[in-house]
Amino acid sequence: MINAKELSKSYSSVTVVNIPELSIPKGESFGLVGNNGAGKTTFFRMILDLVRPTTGSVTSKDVDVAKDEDWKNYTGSFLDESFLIDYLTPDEYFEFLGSLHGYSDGDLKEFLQRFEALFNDEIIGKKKYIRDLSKGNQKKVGIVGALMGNPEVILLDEPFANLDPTTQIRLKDVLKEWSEKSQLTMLISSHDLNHVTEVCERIVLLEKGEIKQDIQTSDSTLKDLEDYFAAY
Amino acid sequence: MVGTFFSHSWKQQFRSPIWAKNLIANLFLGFAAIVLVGYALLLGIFLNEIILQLVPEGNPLDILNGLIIYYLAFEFFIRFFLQNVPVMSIQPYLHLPIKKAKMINYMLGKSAISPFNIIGILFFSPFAFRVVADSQGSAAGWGWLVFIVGLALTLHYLVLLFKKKLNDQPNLMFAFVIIFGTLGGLDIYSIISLSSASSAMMDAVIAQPIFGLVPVVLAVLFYFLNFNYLVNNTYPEEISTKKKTSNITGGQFAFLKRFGHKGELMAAELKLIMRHKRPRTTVLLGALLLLYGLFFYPNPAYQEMDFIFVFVGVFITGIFFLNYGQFLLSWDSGFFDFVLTRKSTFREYIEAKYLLFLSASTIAFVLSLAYGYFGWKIVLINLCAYLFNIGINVFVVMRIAMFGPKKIDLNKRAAFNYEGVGAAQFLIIIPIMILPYVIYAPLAIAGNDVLGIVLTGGAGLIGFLLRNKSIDGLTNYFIKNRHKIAAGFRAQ
Repeated sequence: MINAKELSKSYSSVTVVNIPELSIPKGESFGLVGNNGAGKTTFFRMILDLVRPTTGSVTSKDVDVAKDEDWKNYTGSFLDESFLIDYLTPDEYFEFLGSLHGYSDGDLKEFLQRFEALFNDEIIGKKKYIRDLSKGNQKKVGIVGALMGNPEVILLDEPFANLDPTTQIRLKDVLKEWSEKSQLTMLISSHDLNHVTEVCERIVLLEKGEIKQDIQTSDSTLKDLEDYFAAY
Repeated sequence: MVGTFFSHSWKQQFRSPIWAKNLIANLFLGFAAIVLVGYALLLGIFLNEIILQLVPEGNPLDILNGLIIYYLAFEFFIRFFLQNVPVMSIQPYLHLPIKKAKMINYMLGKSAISPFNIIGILFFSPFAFRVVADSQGSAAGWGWLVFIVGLALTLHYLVLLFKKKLNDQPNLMFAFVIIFGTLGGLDIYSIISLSSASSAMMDAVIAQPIFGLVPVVLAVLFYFLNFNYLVNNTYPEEISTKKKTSNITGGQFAFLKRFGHKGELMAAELKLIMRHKRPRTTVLLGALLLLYGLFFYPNPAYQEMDFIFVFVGVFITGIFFLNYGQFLLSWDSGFFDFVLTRKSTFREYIEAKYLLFLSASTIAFVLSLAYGYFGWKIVLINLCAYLFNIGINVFVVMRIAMFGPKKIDLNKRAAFNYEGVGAAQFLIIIPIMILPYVIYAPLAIAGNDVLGIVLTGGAGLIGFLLRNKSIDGLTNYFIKNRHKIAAGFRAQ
């Protein structure tokens, strides 16, 4: 589904990402872990054509994401607040996204209803701009927005950060459900080793832009990762 | 889609927190814009008569035709400094299923609705119809107008492109300065005449109105050059005109560390000033206003009006705290919670600010001694104004500044930035214009202005000796209201 080849990004001779080869097959739930500055977000940004790679390219369905915009039609993403239009209310934002994906009012309502538990009655129908929401609620808006339009691929950067424990658990369930039900290819980066090992089938560990480990999740993965980071 | 984009930018404007908070400033700006547009239209309507007034024997059309090229050069520079494409505003749309081409077309199209283009059209259309069409036929009138508007649009897209390329190739600026300088120089020394070139060009358009379409074609060409550039460079980190990381500027003010906490606080404040554009500009402007005296002292018109010199003295010796101090707490609004929780007493915080203002005033006073050239009385007035400033005015300003301070985002631009402007900025007139005259004015009217000046200075001196009381008072007020102020900063 998504392939990176000879991918690298440097800022004035400091290489922040260097991935010779990485391929993520369709339907895989893929977790990216690494300390601050490991290059997780930059890698995600290159997949979304938000950062121009210094060398190499990312292809999605074998098409270079920088050359063709087709990937936008089946890729949902939320990396940070700059993905939100902060002067809209959440309702307006969802309506806007819905119109992009051809949702009717009924479709939209039905779609949003599925996240009622996640929203906890703090988001829909409140006369508040997105910028005035708490960080956690902004995150919920962004993640649900990314799930709109039945994406085939979804990229989330730190989806669990800033969320309360109940929401973290609910979000985990939502993500698992979506990836199982609809062959969703899911790319998640997280510092929360617990969550990421639970949600993802495969975990890639980045360190200073390079892939250090690429493992299929098993019972021992969490322990292995903890040992790795403790010894870092 | 275009409709949605429009509605979004509309909402962005009207929902911006700064918009609501600075309603008065915005209304004023809106009013100013309407006045400006009105002036442009009025000037345009009466352009013929105005030119006839200035040059009675000339033909207004010929004269205007000769000036068009200078107008365009002027416009280019104005545009270069003031015009901007809000490229960053497309960032939240980049990951959505919207074609880049659509966004860029929208952005470029919307940018054409700029005050420069509108004012140009308003200014030239009346003349085109009243004069050009009237004397040369309506085709010539249209050609003339389309030519000028087309050139304005060409400049519009040229400047957009130029400013973007400038990020990649700073040397372009030199090339342009050289070209403009050479042309201007050749024109000044009458080696070539830009004016006759301009006339020839406009005459050709009037003779052959179809030439009016040439700049329109050019405008379209530049539009597509912009489009091409943007399509290939729509990466947030590349279109952002800001430098990603700024170098550390300003000294460390190590000498201030000797004064303990207060010194550290002063050093931090100085760094804040040095490292942000808006406070830096405020301070530089203050330094420039030190020269204000040159405007008043040598002017014979003011020699009989000594009372003005009191105001000038207050202004010169107090400019730093008048200008910078009126936003006292607003400068710290971005990290105000830190101010409230860090390990230094609130009294130290207030006193550090006072000491900073005191030092700046003292420096300004010492510099103002040069005005002694205009007579001993000026020095006396400035000395008394200085004492009054450091003893009384500075505390009044600080107190006024604590009156519902508004948030300032330090990283925003300096010019035309009305963030943080509130009631305090209107009250600031009291220490400048009224307080210094409370003692002085009655005595001056009674015919003893020197006594008035000395007593004003004396009051200042007493205030200075009792400064700890004033600082205590301010500190108490600050402590009482700190939660309200912090909540205000957080809410905005």
